[in-house]
Amino acid sequence: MDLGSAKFWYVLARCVDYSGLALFAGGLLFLALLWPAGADHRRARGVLVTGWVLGFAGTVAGLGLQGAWVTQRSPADLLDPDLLAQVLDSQFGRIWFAKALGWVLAGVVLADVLQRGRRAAVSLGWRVGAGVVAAGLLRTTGLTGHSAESAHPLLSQLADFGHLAGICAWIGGLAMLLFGVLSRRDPGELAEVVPRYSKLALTSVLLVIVAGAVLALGTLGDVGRVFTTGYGRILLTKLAALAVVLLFAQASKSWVARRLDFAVVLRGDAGAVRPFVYSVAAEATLVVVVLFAASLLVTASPGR
Amino acid sequence: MVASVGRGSRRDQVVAACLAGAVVVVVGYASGIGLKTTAASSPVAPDQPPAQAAPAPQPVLPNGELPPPGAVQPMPPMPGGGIPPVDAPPPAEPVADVPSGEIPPPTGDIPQPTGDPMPPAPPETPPQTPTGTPPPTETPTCQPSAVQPVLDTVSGLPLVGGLTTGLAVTGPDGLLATIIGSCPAAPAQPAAPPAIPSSGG
Repeated sequence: MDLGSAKFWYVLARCVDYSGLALFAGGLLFLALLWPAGADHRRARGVLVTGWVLGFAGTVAGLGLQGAWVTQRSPADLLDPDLLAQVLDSQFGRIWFAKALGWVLAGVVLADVLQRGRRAAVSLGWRVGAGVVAAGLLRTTGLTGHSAESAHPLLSQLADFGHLAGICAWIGGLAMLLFGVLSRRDPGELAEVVPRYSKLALTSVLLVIVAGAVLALGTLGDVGRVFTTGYGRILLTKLAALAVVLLFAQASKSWVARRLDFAVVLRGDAGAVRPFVYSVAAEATLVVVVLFAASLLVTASPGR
Repeated sequence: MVASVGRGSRRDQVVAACLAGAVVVVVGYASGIGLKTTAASSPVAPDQPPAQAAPAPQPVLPNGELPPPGAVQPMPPMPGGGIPPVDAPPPAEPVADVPSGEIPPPTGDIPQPTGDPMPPAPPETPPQTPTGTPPPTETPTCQPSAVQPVLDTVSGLPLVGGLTTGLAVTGPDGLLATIIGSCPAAPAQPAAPPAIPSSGG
């Protein structure tokens, strides 16, 4: 792929958008369910703000870059008014415009938690608002996927929603854990939050795998196409990257099962926690490769 | 103290309810529910069925002509509104920046410019051209600004669109149209450059 092409930048915008969605939606879930006290901490808030900025910027840039790609224009034309006018007149533009509005609404949730911190994170109203906004963002993201093409669109779109939700819960939680909890090494928080997140991550990964299998079958139609189409090859690359990430995830899970109590007894000693920090950091880094492969997948034709 | 907690809780609930309502409107709009088809929007209906239910799209070159046999064809529509980018087929004559031919509406997310191309369209298939009569070349054409499509989009929103139109904020005779001007909706659109299909999620 030509690095100066509009397609490359469009794929990058999708990747930024996915990363932002995962950080924001997963971060909200983490604060609401696992660690409300984190809403008072600067780094945890930073994860949410970063997610919001990436998501909004990726969505807005994606609008213009998709138009630039389609019309074979330079990626620098992404803010051209004529181009944007054409994109907004298309179904893709309508969906992504709605998604940008969704990010604006997400700003209300973010502003509230930044203002009130823990008090917001424990209130039912904030949790409901955050859940609804996150669900809206997930749904609008799913509207621009391959799931609508499937022979069973309802099942595929449900699987798509579950797949996205699982990814967000896993990756957003991973970022919160790494930048929020592990950076503080507070023994009380380690003992309380890490086991909870471990269970959430396991559930999320299972959901991601099951929903992903349903999606892949619905999109490709035949397992053999995994090896014979470009879409299938990208999917294989994504699965290979995911397998490596899961190896690190397994290492993290083993550490939680065998060494967490020891690290808590040592009052969060840096040396005791370091192996866990490394495996979580490796997971979080490699996940970016998975997200980039996912961005390539949505711009590829399943070739059915 | 108890009263202030109660007020705070009630405020939370009101904000949450407003957010939920706004998200429902936004997602409904994204799904195409209640979308009004305006004259400014492109000729393709917004609720166009997905690609697999539609007949094979007719690939059209940016200048509105069918590509020659053997030329690189745009990919079929895919969900998400992506459009098959035409892989720069050599135009027969100089063309403007924006193609005048209408690209078939994709329903998928994004097109793929290479690989698995569609079979060439039958040669007898007429190119998809706008049905309207092109205006005389000397007639000045109305050039809507970038604000116009945004206003059209807002007008198309369920509830919000009705409200703004009802309050005479948007619409052809609305306050904003009076201030910034607007292009009249023509019954048959001249050779506009709808390079981005209006459908095709």
